[in-house]
Amino acid sequence: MSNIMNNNGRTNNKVNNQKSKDYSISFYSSLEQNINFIKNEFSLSEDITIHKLALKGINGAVISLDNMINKDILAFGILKPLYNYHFCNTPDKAINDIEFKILYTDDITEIFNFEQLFTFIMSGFAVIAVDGSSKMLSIGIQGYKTRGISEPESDVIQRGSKEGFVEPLRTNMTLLRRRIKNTDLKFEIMTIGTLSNTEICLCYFQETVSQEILSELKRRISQIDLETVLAAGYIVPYLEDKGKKTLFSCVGITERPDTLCGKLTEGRIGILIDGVPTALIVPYIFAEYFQTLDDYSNRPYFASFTRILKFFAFLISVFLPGLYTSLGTFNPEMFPTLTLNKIAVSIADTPLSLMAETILILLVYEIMRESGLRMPQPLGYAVSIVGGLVIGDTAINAGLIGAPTLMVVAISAICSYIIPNLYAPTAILRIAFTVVGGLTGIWGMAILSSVVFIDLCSKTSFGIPYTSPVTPFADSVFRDVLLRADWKILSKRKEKIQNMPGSELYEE
Amino acid sequence: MIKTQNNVITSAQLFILLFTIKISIIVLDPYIAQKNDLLTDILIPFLIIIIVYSLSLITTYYYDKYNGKTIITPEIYSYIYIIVSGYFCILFLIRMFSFCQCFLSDEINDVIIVISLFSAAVYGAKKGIEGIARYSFLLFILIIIAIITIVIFLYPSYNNDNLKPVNSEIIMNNGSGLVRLISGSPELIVLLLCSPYSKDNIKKSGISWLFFLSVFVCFMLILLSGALGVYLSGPTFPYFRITDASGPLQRLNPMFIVILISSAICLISSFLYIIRQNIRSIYNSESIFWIIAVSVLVLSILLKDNSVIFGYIYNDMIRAIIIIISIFIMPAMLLILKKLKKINQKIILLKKLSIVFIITISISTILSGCNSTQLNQRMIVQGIGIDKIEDQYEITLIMLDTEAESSENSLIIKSFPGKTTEQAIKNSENITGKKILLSQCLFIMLNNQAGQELDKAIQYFADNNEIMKTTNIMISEDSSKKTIETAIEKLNYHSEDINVISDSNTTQQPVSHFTVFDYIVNRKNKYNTMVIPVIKYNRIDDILYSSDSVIIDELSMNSMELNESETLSFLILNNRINNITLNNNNSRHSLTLNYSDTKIKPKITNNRLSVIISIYTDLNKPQDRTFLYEQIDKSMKKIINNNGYDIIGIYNKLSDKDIKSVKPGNWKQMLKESLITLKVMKKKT
Repeated sequence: MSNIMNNNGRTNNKVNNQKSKDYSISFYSSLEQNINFIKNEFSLSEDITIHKLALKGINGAVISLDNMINKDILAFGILKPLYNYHFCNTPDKAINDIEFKILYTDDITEIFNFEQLFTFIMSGFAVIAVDGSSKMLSIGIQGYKTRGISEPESDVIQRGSKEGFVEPLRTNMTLLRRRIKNTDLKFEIMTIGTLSNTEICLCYFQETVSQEILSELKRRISQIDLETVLAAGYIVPYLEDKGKKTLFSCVGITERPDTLCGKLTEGRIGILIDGVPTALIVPYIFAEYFQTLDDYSNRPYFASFTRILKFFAFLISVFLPGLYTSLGTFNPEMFPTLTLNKIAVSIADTPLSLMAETILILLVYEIMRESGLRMPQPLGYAVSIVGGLVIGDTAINAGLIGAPTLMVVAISAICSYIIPNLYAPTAILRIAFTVVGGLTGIWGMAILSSVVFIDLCSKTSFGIPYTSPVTPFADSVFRDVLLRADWKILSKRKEKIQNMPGSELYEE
Repeated sequence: MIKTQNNVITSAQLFILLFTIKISIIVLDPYIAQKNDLLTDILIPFLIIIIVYSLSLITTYYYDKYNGKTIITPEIYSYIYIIVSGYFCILFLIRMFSFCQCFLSDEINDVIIVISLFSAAVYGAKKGIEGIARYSFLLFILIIIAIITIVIFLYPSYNNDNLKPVNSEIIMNNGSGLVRLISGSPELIVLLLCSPYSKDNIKKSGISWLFFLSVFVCFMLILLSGALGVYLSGPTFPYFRITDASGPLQRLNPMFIVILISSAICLISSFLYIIRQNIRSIYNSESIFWIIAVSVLVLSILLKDNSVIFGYIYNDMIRAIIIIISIFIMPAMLLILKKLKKINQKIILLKKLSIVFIITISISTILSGCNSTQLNQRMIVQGIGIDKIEDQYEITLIMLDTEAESSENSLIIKSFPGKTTEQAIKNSENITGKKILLSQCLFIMLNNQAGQELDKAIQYFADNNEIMKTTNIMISEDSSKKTIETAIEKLNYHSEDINVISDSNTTQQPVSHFTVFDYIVNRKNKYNTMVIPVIKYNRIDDILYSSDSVIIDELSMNSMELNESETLSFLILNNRINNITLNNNNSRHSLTLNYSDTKIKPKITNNRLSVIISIYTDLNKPQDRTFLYEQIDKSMKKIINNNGYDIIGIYNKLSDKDIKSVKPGNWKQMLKESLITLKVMKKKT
């Protein structure tokens, strides 16, 4: 299915192709020479298809990759009109006739060298070559199989669109364009990956975005020296501020086009990657992890309630196991008497110390989680049974672990799923806090939490403080961070990311 | 005026830092207020600042603002700032050591904590002042939450009388940290000196926030943080305990520790950041910062109070001079190194230092927690009985049996002997092999003989950091061991029901209870009397009950017993109970006091004591007023006239000129012959 924009208006920035061969050789005039060159480059590859054409008055060929093109369009939109036309001009004029008079398709581009040819045919284009002409035509008739637009699995909301990004870049661009019918929305295509030549698309509102951030982003992308880009996470490290790498990422990820549209209106830049059904968002601040589209669909009081709930859930998921361990080991007087009695009785039966027990259960949980992700679906029920009955019930009865410890870890695990994007740092931090709490008590936990928070507070995302607008403080904390104000209030002030407190950039 | 570089701290910033660090030093060290050489901590930086700024003012006064020539170059400023900042870093860390020694349990090494804290501060310094500033603002929010939480928990049990010892300490001794801080601050003079430089010099960074943070930390620690103050043991710092009037405050300890540690990290981070920035302005090198940071840490460890090497140096002046010389030598040595151009060696040294640092922290942190005590290795004590039989003490502990099948029937009772209560406790740990945990203890029961020497019996528990201040103290008519065994047997050894023994509704009348908190408050005050309930076991009704109280005067002999109405009278007169409803069994009327207030006016005329006692209350019926009058009048005359005990602190209420009339040994007689006038009046609305 072809939905490619006309290439004439598109910037196609190639980035860092030093490692690939140099194919910027112009076409030969002889068709045979061109075909031989192509065959030579695709030797040992069975997917190249070169269909020679004995047209009326001229010889030609259609070059494509097997299963990348729509064969119906090839047959009826390209070959049939070609065969029916009588060519009586020079080869170059014949190419012009093909481009403007003959073909029944719209996405036609002139190409002049082999680099362009290989790029296009590997993007699902078919290329028409004519004997005697040093230029060819690429026609967008993609027909490769793609996944249909479906609801994103990791970015689920109650109310709102059920569409999520898919692998083809152009389809994702269309999803955005359908939602924002404004010429101010720009799509800039760049290419990264010296081997894969993966296309990425920068999406932004020209009037809203900060030109400094945009140019800085382009500069960072130009310094990506990867060979292949197969997932969004490949390029995230290149987009982060230099020297400010922490557990928390300053590049956002979303699978939802509606979420990305909302971010773009605040001056952010979206990065779509061909072959990856996620979009990256820069700049990204910590408070955005706690914002979902549902917050803006629900009533303000409920949205505020869920926001605060998420903050507490995050703190519980990170600190609860460590707090439990440190208090149980060094400050048992903190517990109420009945609770302390029950914990003491449960620990008396187990062979491990409180810290070891907590870490063991955390690690077992992580193993189960990872197993549940990787294993085939039919076996998923077995994981549930093993996890629930064996580990949960049998282990307690056998005296291997204590029920209070298991309950603490379970609560922490459930709370960590309230913000899926923060799961990775949460998982690491809670183990770290458990170890520190078990060794040095509340004091060590206080020191470690200071380190983590100083780390968070010193981090920036394209010059914007990561912890704004909480610190440096702005009143937007009460409008759209801690609480969610009514839309009538939110719509009055247009917030731009570059105007966040503490940012060096400011635009009207 | 000197053209200052961007990375050299300004004088206003230095003032703020000095002020904040001084607050923290005084707050953290309870003994500094008592030390005569407090001037050392103030005098040396004050002199440095005065000299430096005097020179800068003199030499730059007549020169153009931006092209001024002066003998004080920015490099010299940087050296001075490095020295002063390093000095305060070391001093602060030394104070943190002694503070940690009070705070930390035996299982955690204070050196590990301070090293980790310092490492976090170094990390913060490397991250930059903006990160520290933003984090300090987060702490600011946490402090506000803490203050609100404390007020909510503290408000119901707040009592003005509990602050009287606080006021006497501040006024009489004139040695508390707050007073000296406010009255003796040389930073105020520095502020005047640097006022021409302060305009537009204070950057929009964390320095100003650190100032607010420190002030609020100081405020919170001193005024409200009773739970934190539990750990500051010793009679010189009693007012922290006084504000801890409720058990729930103890459960907020983690919040206080987080605020304290985080603010300490912010402060040290800012100092280290200053050092780093000034080093970079002089040497343009990062490695030297690491060397100085390690030197500061090492010096702090070597110079802490119980240090092997310098522990015998009690004179702070000498210690201060050693610190300054050491820090001053460091940049001089590094300057020489720089001139010798051994750059490559410094880089290798930096890497080695970093690796050594990380390994040291990791190993010491891991090893420090290996001797922690698990819950199943602790005796969770829920009640204590103390019997004194002749010269020997026997303590009876009600403990949780962790090996019981059900947590419901899980109490065991064991007795341990000892010459003192402390020795008996240690015996219990030796015999059972478990460490005692007193935080869940609900009551301490004494027999008559132990109650007569209350101080010897209770002192160990009152000084213990774990025990709740709301733990009830009572005297058993029989031996405490027998009473406890009988009571627990009746409860079927249910741990959930044990609070029945200390529950005021069951064993104690609501007017009479005595806690560890009351003991701590009262033991400092001379001529203050404590009333401790006496409990008996009613074998007919099969319950524990309390109908009598015992007066313990000046922690000495048990003088007399009071019945219920006499106890009530005593408490009303002492303003310790002003909201009560009770029924008069002899009549159909009930007596209700709402927010009553008792005023006692004693006077000595012609060598005779006359006391006018006025009770302002909210009585509605004249019959009830009469009842109250009769009860109190009878009690007063019995206690004061018959026994000569100043149970309501009449002596403290005498004016200075009246006190002069009291001759030594005459007061008891004077009390017996006193003329007491009692008035009960309705309170004016």
